[in-house]
Amino acid sequence: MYISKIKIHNVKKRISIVAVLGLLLTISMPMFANASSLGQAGVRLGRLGNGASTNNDALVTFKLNTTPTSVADVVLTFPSGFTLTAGTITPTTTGFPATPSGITVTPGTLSATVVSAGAGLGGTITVSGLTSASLTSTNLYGFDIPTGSITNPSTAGQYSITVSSDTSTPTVIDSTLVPVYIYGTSANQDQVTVTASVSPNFNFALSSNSDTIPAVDPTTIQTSAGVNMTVGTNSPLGYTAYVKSANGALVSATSPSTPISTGVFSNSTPNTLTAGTTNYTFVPSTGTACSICTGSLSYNGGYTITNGNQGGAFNGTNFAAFVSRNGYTNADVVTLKERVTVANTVAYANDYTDTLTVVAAGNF
Amino acid sequence: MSLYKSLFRATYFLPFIFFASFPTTTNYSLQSYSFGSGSVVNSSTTTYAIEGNTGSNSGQSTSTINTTIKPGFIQTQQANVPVISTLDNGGGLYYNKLHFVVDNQANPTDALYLISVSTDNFVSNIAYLQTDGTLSSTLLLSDYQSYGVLGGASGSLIVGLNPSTTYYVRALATAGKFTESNFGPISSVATVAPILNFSLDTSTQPAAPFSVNLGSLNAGQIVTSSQTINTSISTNGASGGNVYISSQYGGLHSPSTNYTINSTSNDLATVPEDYGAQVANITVGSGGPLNSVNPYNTTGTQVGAVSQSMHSLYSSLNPINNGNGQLVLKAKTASTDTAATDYQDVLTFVASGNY
Repeated sequence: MYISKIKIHNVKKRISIVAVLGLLLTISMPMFANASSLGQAGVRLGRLGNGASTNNDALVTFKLNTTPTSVADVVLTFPSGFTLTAGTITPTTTGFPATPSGITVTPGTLSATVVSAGAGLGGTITVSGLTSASLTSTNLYGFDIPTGSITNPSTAGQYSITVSSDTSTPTVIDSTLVPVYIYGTSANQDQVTVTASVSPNFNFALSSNSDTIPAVDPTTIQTSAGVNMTVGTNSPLGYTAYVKSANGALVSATSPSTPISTGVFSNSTPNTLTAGTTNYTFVPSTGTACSICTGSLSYNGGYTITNGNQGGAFNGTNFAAFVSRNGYTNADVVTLKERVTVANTVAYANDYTDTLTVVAAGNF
Repeated sequence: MSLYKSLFRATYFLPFIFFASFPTTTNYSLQSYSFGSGSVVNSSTTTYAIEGNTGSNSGQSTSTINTTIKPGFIQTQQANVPVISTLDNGGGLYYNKLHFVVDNQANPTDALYLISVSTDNFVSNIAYLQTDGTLSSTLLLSDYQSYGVLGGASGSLIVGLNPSTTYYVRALATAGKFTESNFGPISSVATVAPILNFSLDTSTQPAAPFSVNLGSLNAGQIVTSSQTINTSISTNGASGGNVYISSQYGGLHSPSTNYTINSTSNDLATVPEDYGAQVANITVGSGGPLNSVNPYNTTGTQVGAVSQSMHSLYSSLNPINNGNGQLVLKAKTASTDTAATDYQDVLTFVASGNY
């Protein structure tokens, strides 16, 4: 470095002496006036839609730079366009997303003061309560400003939020401009609505197509082994099952004059069978319960059987509803039996028969 | 005038008259010379050193716009003045840093260089490049860095700068005591503003409102949306950017039946019901790369769950231009999923940069 130059003249000779000072160690110069940038900073708004406020939180991530242990507050300065709702809020520090990777909980008991500059005029959110002594310049810290404080600008475009680290004075230590992008012409421009319909389904099965009633005489009440009806449906209103007797009686080809007729049909009360009195009834009961279902299974009053002497009379040769569910079910198993008594005038025969038709329908 | 005085003047001016015409050849001419006084020595303390010499030319410089000639011994021992041969903002990407290359002007390999930076063309705002790439207004000996440390011919970065600001940069060199050169010519370039750009559409809808219809879902069938949900992110964030996804219901919800087909991260082939998202394709204009983030980076019948919390969908660790992602939705229903025609969800997509 050229420091000085001295000329000495006299009458005898001219001598130039150049003195050079080599500056070898420290030289003090005027300080750079501006604060530095944060090591890293990001703001993820919960909504980018124009004017959106619903679910509009703000995940703030930052890596400190200068004197991290002097940082007491982190201040977010929102530019004009944003509307902030003034108040005191509590930032959260859980549920960070996978990226940017390695977000660390900001140490401290955080609280935030939201100052609004007016509608559409921005404002500040000052997050305080940081444990300064625990802060480093290597961690990527994060906290989330909960919904309710931020309303997006009504004009699309890029807006820059300033994220700064402040002392407790407060004096800005480092700051970084973080752009966010407000998108589209309305609040839902950042959203996609997904629609679908679930097709109705219904399934029905009988475990067998025949059922045998043990030999019956005037002294006994006999009940068949039964057939299992299984019904499944995704109808939110469930289903109803019906039964119809082909003859309203058990009839014998060899003794056609003495059918074993069904009793008096009732929608409210089952028949009570008495040995020696002819009756032919239907006895539904719940088998294996459904594992995925809503609502409940209910039996028509005429088929609500509570003991071994009861049975529901068939509705002549017409369908009669006997059970229903008011919700969906993966599989309702209902066991269908026939219960019979005979008078001593019923002719002997071993070919009494009837055909029951069982149907079910979903209530869609 | 006395004879004595006349003789004195003649004696005094004789040498100057004699030396008024200096030796000259076709190629060289001696501009001046003087008599050395001798007995001048260097001196130093712990922190300073001074080099003295006598008999040197007075050091009058001659300059043009591009060159300066400084005669004399002290000038000849100085290092060659280095040049900032490249100063750029990464092709318009850098908002907080600048790239530079020093032309060492054939200085010896042990030469050290000082990079000085200013925002006002060195009027009052002056800082020096430190070893970590940041600037400080306090000059330290460690700020003198070798050509290799400064990145050699590839150059290095000045970091921690402000966006949208013009920076002036110059360099000097030194190769030992008393050899520090003047600063070389000043180069300047501006940092750009930080940028984030994001867009959303579907493969069939270039403009909002956007919707994807999964159609009628039959029990046990795996349905894939015929449309893709397309997002695009561009950012010059030094640490890249991210695209996130969230769901209003965390599943497909039927308001009329109040039934929800919950979204879980699963293989649809192995579960009775589910709903989720899968990244189908990614393209990048430049920069990046853009990566799909777990659990959405799946194939086949696998899906990633969507929920009311924001989940990372795409991520880039570097600045990226036109990082496009295509997302498909998949669903499967069980026979017991309530039949309804109003199953719905609202997916929200947002983006952010890491600056």
